[in-house]
Amino acid sequence: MALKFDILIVDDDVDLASNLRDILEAEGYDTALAGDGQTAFTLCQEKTFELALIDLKLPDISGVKLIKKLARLSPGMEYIINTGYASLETAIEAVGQRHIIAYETKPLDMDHLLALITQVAERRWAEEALRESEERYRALFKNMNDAAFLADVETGRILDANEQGEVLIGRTHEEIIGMHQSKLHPPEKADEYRQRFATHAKKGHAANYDGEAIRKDGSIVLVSISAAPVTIGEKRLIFGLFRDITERKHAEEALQESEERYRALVNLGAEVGEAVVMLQDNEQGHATQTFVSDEWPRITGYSKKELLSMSFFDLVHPSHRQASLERHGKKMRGAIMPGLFEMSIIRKDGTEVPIELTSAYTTYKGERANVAFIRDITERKQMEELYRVLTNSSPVSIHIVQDGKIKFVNRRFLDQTGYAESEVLDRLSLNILHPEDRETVRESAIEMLKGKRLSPYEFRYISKSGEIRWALGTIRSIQYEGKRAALANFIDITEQKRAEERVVEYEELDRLKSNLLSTVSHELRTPLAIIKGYSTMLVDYDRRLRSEEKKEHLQSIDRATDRLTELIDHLLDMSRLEAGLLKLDKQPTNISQLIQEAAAEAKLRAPRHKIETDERQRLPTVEVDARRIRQVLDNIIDNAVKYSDKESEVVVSAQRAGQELLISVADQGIGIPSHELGMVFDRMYRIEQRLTPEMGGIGLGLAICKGLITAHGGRIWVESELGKGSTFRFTLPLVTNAAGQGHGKDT
Amino acid sequence: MEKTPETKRILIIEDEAEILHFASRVLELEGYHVLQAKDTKEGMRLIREGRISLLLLDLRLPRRDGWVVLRQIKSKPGLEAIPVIVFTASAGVSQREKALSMGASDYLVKPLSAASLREAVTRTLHQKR
Repeated sequence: MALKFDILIVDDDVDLASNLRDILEAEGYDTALAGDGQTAFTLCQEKTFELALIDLKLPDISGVKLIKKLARLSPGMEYIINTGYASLETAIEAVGQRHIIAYETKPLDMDHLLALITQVAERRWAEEALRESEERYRALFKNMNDAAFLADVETGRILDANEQGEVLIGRTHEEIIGMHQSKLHPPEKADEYRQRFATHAKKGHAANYDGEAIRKDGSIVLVSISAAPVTIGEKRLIFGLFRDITERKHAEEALQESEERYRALVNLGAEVGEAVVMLQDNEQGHATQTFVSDEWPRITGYSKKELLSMSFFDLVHPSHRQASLERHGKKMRGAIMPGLFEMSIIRKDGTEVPIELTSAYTTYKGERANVAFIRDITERKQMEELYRVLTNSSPVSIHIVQDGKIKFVNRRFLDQTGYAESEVLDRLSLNILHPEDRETVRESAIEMLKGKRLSPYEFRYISKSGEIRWALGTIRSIQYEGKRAALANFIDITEQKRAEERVVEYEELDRLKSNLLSTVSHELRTPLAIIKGYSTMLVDYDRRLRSEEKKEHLQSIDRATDRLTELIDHLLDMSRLEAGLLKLDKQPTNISQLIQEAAAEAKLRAPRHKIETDERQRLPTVEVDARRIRQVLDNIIDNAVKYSDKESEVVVSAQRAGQELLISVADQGIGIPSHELGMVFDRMYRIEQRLTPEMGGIGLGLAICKGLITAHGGRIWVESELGKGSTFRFTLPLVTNAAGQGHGKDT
Repeated sequence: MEKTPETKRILIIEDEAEILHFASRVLELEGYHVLQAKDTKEGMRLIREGRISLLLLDLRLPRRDGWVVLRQIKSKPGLEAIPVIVFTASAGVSQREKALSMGASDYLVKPLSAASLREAVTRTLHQKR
C-alpha cells in the first residue's frame, strides 16, 4: 500500500528546485514546485503536503513568515528549511517553530537531505499505520458487547475502557483512565489480581477465569474474565474482557435449587412406596427414562441400567400402550391432564403388574420432562377381586354408600332389587327407599357413622318394577377407597312380612273365634250360674230367708232360664242359617199389625223410651214368616232402646217402595262409626266392645236378622251418625220369591 | 293373741249383677261382712282401703280382666297376703293351673252352688290361720 507523501519545494532558485524535484521523484516521492511564497500558499490551498522544503530567502516573504502562514493552513505539514545564510538568530527563530525538522545550509548535501526526508517519510508512514490500526482497534474496542479494558503492563494503569466497561464499573471514562487495574476488583482481593495481572503479562497467551469486579458504589459483579497480552506500537498492554455472569450464576443457582427440589420429590416418592420415573424425549423423539428411583427396578424387575436405556412404553402392557403413549405426547406438548391412571406393566420375567400412575410435566436442565409417580397396586387389586368374589357369592344384598351415593353393589343386590348396575351406581341411595322410611334410614346411618352400633332394622324399598318390598338390614361404617363409607347389608323379608300379616290375620280370626267361644261359654254359663246359685241357696238357707227374698230369687231363676233359652235359640238359628237349614213359614201377613204389636211390647220392656210407629199408607199384605219378622223387629227395636237414652225417641215406620216394603227403625242413640257400618251385621260384631261392656249378649242378633231378611229375599242395612243416632232399614219383597221357602245364606 | 270373734271382711269383684247378689247373700248368711265391686277400679280401691280378709274374684271382668287384679295383688308387698279365690265360667285346666301358680288359693267354676262357695271360703280362711 503506497502511503501518500507529497513534498512541496519552495525555492526561487529554479535550478536547485528542479534538481531537487528530480531526485525526489526518482525516489518515488511526488513533488510540487513553488518559486515564491504566494505560489506556495496557493498550492497548499489546493493540496495537502506532508513535507515542505523551504528556502528562507524568498522574493516576497521571509521563509519564517511563510512557515507561519502555511502552518495555519496545513497543520500537519512538516518543514525542512534550506538557506544560504548561516544566520544563527534566524536559525533559532526558525527551529523554534514546531514541525521544522531540520535546517540545512546551502550548498545542500543531497544525500543528507534525502536521508532526512526518508526518515521523515518513514516516520510518517509508521504513524499513519499506527493511526489506522488504532482507529480500527478503537472501533472494535468501542463496539464490543462486553466490557473491555486496556492496561499498561509496567504501570498497571488503565489506558482505555469502552462504554460497556464504564457501565459495568459504574464510572465514567475519565474516572477509569489512569486508574490502577486492581481497582477494578474488590479491594480485599487486590493482591490476587495484581498477581494474575503479572502472570498474564508473562504468559504471552490469553487466560479465562471467573472473578469479581467492583462497581463505584461498592457492589460486586460476578464476571467471567478473558485476559490477553497485546502489543500496540511499542507498548505492551494487557487487554481484559469482562463478561457479566450474574444472570448465568442465578440460572445455575436456580437450577441447583430445582435439582434439589427434584431430588427431594424423588426421595419422598420412595418413602410412600412410589417409584419416580422421569421421561424425556431423546433425539429420535422416543420417551426414554432419564431417571428412575430405586422403587422402579424393584417393581419392574429390571436393573437401573437396563431401565435407563429403555423406553418407558416398552414396559407398558400392550393393551394400555397406545393410550398412555398418546397421553405422554400430549403432556410433553403442554397439555394438563391431572388424575390417576390405572394400567399394567410387564416385568422382566413376563408377569403383569397392575400400577397406578400420575404424572406432571416439568422442565429439567432446560429440557421438557414428564415425571411419573407410579404405585404398585397388586395388593389392592387382589383385595378388590377377593372382595368382589365374596360379595357376589353372598346371599345377602350388599351395597356401599359414600357421600349419599351408591358406590358398589353385589350381584344379589341387583337380582333382588331388579335394577341394572348402571341404574344404581352413583345414584342417591335414598331414592331406592320407600319415602316413608327414608328419614329413619338416614338417621340410622348418621347414628352409625357417629360410632353407635345399630341393631338390624326393617325398612321398605321400591323395586325396579315399582313393587314395595320389605327388607331387614344392618349398616356399618367402613373405609372405602380411602374415605369413610357405609356398608349396608340386607335381606328381603317381604315374604315373611306377608306371612306375618297372614298370621296376624289368622291370629285375629282365631282370637275372634276363641273370643266367640269364650263369649258363648260365658253367656251360657252366666244364667246357669244364677239358676244354680239361687236354687242351691234356697235349699240350704230356706229357714233363714224371708219369703220376699225367696220370691225374688225364684224370679231371678225364671229370668235366667229365659235368657238361657234365648241364647240357645240364637245359636241354633245361626247354625241353621249357616247350614241353609232354616225353614221359613211364609204366610200372608198384615205387616202393620206386626209392627204395632212389636212396638207395643217394646214399650212394656222399655217404658221410659218413646216408641212410636209411623205409617202413612195402607200397607199391602206380604208373604212372610211373621214370627221371624217379628224376631227381627224385636231385635232391632231392642238395640235401638239399648243404645239410646231414656226419654229419647224410637220410631218404627213402614212404607211401600216400588216392588218392596221398606221398614225402618230410627233412634237417637249413640250412633255407629261410619267405617263400622258394614261390619254391624257380622257375626262377631259387638258395638259394645268399645263402649259400656255391661251390655251382655253374644252379638249374634244382627247377624241373625240379616240372615232372616236375606232368606226372605230382602236387604238390610243401617244408616248412622255418631252421636246423633242410627236408622236400621230392611226391605221385604212384595212379590213372592220364586224360590219359595228361601234359604238364607250369609253372603 | 286375743280370741275375739272378728267379723271377716270379704270383697267380691263380679260384673254380673245376679251372681254378685247371690254370692253376697250366701256369705252374709254365713256371717261375713261382704263388700261388693262391679269392676277392677272399684275393687282395687276397696282393697287399698284395707282390712280385707279374702277376695272373691271373677276372672272374666270387663275392661281389664281379673288376671290383672290377681297379678297386681300378688305382687304388692302389703296386699299379697290376702287370699284370693278366683271364679270363672271357664273350665280349662290350664287356666286353673295358671291361676294357682299366680298365687290364687282356689279356683271355682260357674255355675256355683251355695254350698261349694261356702266351703271354699271356709277352707281358704282356715288355711290362712
